[in-house]
Amino acid sequence: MNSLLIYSITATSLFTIGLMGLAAHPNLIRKIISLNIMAGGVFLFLISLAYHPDDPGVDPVPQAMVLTGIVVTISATAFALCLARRITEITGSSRLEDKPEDTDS
Amino acid sequence: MNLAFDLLVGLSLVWVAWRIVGSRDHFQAVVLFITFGLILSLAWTRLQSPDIAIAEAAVGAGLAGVLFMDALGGLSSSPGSPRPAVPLTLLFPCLILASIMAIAVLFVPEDFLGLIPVVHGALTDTSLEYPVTAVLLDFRAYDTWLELGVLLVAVLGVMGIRRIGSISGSRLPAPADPVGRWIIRILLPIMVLIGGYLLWLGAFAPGGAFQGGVVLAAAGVMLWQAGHPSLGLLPRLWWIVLLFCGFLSFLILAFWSLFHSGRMLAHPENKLWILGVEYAATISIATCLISLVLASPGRCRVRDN
Amino acid sequence: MTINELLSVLFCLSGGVFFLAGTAGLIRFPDTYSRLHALTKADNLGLGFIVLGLIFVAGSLPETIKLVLIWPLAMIGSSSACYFIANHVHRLTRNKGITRD
Repeated sequence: MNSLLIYSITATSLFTIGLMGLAAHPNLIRKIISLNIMAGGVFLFLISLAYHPDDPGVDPVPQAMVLTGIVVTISATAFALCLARRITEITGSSRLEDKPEDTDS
Repeated sequence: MNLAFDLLVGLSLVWVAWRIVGSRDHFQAVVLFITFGLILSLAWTRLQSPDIAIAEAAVGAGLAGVLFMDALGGLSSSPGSPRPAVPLTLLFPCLILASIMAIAVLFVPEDFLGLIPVVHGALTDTSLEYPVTAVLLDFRAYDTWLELGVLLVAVLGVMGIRRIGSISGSRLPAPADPVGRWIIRILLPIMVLIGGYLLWLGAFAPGGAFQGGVVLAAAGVMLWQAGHPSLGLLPRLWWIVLLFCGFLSFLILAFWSLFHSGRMLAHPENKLWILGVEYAATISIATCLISLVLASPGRCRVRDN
Repeated sequence: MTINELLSVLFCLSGGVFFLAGTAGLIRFPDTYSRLHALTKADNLGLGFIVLGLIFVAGSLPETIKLVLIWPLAMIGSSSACYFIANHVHRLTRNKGITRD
């Protein structure tokens, strides 16, 4: 059991939890939040693989990828929220469902 | 001791993520997501990536929080449905997926060094000392260039959807009360200073265009939150120049080196080139992120059922 | 262990005690106002002690200055965040006539 293992298993769990939220929530904002959790899991996984506690340090390539990834994720989030607003304006509901008239789901 | 701390951070990340997904109240989920960003930046610090921690704290807790809170106000006012947030039928496939991925993690070889030797070997070829900045601005300059393009596309997409041509007329939040004005008066200069400092550090220590740009963007959004138009004050032409200057400076560098040495984006001998591109990229990143938040539109009250 | 390290450990531990007290207050206190009180008071003091402890083992002058700068910044941040939360809760309770915890 070491740090690498702890963080990579945390990362895979975060990815799965995010995926679950993405599938479970009909509300668009909750879907976008879940996507952000998945992104956090992916970033954590990349860095946990790049991390070597003592000698060579951290692999700079995944670090650079995560750094750009964080900025891309926030701009994608802003765009997605904007799309969600447009969907709300057009359909009158902020939910994404197969059957909009199904009230108990 | 470190192991115990790692375990604590990992478990709280998973727990908070679970609470975010499982919570029925949207507002609670957004607040928990901000907490999630802060704990994640703790994890980055532990993984020896302080610059990612800064970016995560500014983006995950700051900008994302503003965006989601704003969207929450505009999109949905009612709480979610009374049934459990995550159905059991979804839980089992996800548990299986999680265990498959966890098992896959166990097979990662411990002595896997990745690209560390390659990057450290190539550091002698560049005028930058900090490897992450060298990767971003020199070795993989193409990726950074196109990444600025992605930011521009996101801004153009939001502008297109909102059917607005500039951010100068965007809706302002209510003006801040005296305490809010006071804290902004103190924090804004410090944030601008820290953003510039991070940018300057980038050549030889953790810092650089992305970290500095994100902190500057957070400062601009904070100003906007207090009821000040911030970037909206700029004439449209200047705003466009700031938006595009990072992308354009990469373009100029690419063509200059193409004519000069026959290769696109080849290493410029002069350090000033890299500095210029980095500064322009910082300004563009900050402007794009501020514009993305500022272009977030007015309220639209609709039903959420 | 040098005298500096010993002092550092002592101050960091006392900072930890204040954080513990603040967290206990956050969990045990009945309403938002007293919780905020516990958080901002105890945790700021705890942070001050930890910063003080770290100064003893700081390597250089710039590092020390940066450490010293953290404390007032965190105090400014937490006191105004406290004000915003308390103000919001106050408005909620005034409008709805309910106590919220």
